[in-house]
Amino acid sequence: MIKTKRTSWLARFCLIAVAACMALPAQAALEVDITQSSDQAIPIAIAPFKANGQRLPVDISDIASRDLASTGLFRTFDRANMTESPATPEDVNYQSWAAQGVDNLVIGSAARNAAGGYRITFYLVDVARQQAVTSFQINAGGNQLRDAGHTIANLIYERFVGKKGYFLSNIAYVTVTGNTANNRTFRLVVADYDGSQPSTIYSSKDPVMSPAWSPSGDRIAYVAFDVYKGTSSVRIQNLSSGQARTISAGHGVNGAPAWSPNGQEIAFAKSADGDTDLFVYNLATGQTRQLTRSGAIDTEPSWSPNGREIVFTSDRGGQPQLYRMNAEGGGIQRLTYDGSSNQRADFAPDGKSITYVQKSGNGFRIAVMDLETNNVRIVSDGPQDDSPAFAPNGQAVLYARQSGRNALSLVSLDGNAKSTLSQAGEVREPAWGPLGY
Amino acid sequence: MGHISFGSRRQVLLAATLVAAALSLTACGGNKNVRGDAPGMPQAGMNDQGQGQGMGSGRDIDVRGLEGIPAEDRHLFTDPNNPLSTRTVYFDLDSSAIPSRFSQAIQAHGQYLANHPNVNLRLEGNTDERGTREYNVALGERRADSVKQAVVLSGASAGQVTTISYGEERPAVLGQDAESLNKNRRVDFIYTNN
Repeated sequence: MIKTKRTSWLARFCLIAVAACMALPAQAALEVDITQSSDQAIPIAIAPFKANGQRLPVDISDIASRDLASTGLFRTFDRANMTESPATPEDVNYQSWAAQGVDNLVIGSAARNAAGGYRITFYLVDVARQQAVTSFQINAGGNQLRDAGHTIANLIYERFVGKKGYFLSNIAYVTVTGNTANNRTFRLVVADYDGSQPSTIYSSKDPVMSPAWSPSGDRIAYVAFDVYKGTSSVRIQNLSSGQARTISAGHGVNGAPAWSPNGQEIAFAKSADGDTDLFVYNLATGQTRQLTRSGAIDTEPSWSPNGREIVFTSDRGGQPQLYRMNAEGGGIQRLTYDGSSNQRADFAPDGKSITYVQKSGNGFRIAVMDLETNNVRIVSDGPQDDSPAFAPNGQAVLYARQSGRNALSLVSLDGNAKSTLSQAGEVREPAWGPLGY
Repeated sequence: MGHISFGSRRQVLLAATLVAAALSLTACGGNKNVRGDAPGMPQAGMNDQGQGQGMGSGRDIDVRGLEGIPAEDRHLFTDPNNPLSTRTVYFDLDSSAIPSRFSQAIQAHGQYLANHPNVNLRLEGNTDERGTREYNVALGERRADSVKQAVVLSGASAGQVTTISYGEERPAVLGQDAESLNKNRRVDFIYTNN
């Protein structure tokens, strides 16, 4: 069922699958719209791959091409202008590709393997030198062609960018449907990084918020409310079994979960005597310890990848600002001074920078701070941007845009490349899972 | 030829074989990043009772939020001339200070609770949509606690009053104009029977 849901290519191939998907709750896939590319984008053409001269049931070269284009770091070529789909470097008409300005060409083919899947062979070709630079074989199960396309993109991305690609990673986000304030449905959705293959893992008439991936990507922590009882809870849900465990619940605040990098502890916010403080729950012992006691609001923790530090939001100085402390709650230092407030930090995977929401003037924009130099860059346009999350390779930030049409936006770290993921209704609070390979 | 295993999300291995060793890749297997689907998906209790409590104007002539009030007393809370009919306190931007115009209403609620020790009050804090979501949950809680302190000072016992904050997640009105935002920075009084 997972592979046969509501992707447009599938609709053309399998009417039965479309009928099955209509019976499911509304889970429209996000649409990707590339709004801005880097002016130094790498030109690359990925020719269609065929199996024994026939088209594959999934257009894997198109998937790989879209993956690369969505980063803004690559300029891909229109399929309509490709006159051939060569299987090997010997078959390539180099003059024809060179005439179109193609410097880098990816070609390949697939054959059925003994396991009922496909063996995909592809080559990265240097058109000027008229030779293959490298080649790969991928064995994919019959229902794994989509992942094979993403794997092709990961291999090409790493070859050119020098970092692992995030095209096999997943994201989680919250959708809200319903037009009136008291008749809405909140859904916690997990999808491929590009929004395809969405799957609702929790839904409620009451608010759902703050999804956070476990470091290994097998669980999601989130906050659920029970409006009838007037309670909130921090839950951890196992994605394969669907089983959920509550780590903190009751009246007042139980929120803002953040995983420790070893996956053994969760920092979260809880109200005590009217103020919200930070606590840490140990998953193995079930014990909770209090980290901060400020008499002010302390919330929105993010754990440094080495596990030694936590950055959090506090209004102990008046306006909400970011502070850092050691993971035992000591050594608290203020981090942010620009703008009127700075909130909700997320550590980069290498621990060298954080992304967060900065308020200045009347707008909220996404900022990235280099923690060594304290240099701050604003990477979004505002005026109501929220919930930034680093890509698992640290090369992009995904955030929610809450002005005009609510959507998720992806921006490259240099701010030069942008794309948008949107669907009908409201999409909020993206959380980006691990690389997935 | 070296084989490289990719543990994909669906736990099916894609084995990539490096033919021309221009790239060096490290093997990363066994990442059980498996997505749960419809089976086992928990559903929150989609109760009707709690929905819409305190929504809209605090002056609604309506029993929502009065389930915990004895039936013979409910008219006190729906009579617009009685200060008990004010069941929403509104706040200034980024503030949890209770505006003085609500003093009389808060005193009336505190005294009612003092005289009815079996009645329980839930204070639901809310914010407008500006700022980050979890910070707004904490700010809404501070507003609810601020009202709780005032109600207790007026005679209620602390054990009669609970708080919850929905932050910006349950706006009274949907809208981004100043008037909508003003209506959403609020604490609603919910007299519960649970």
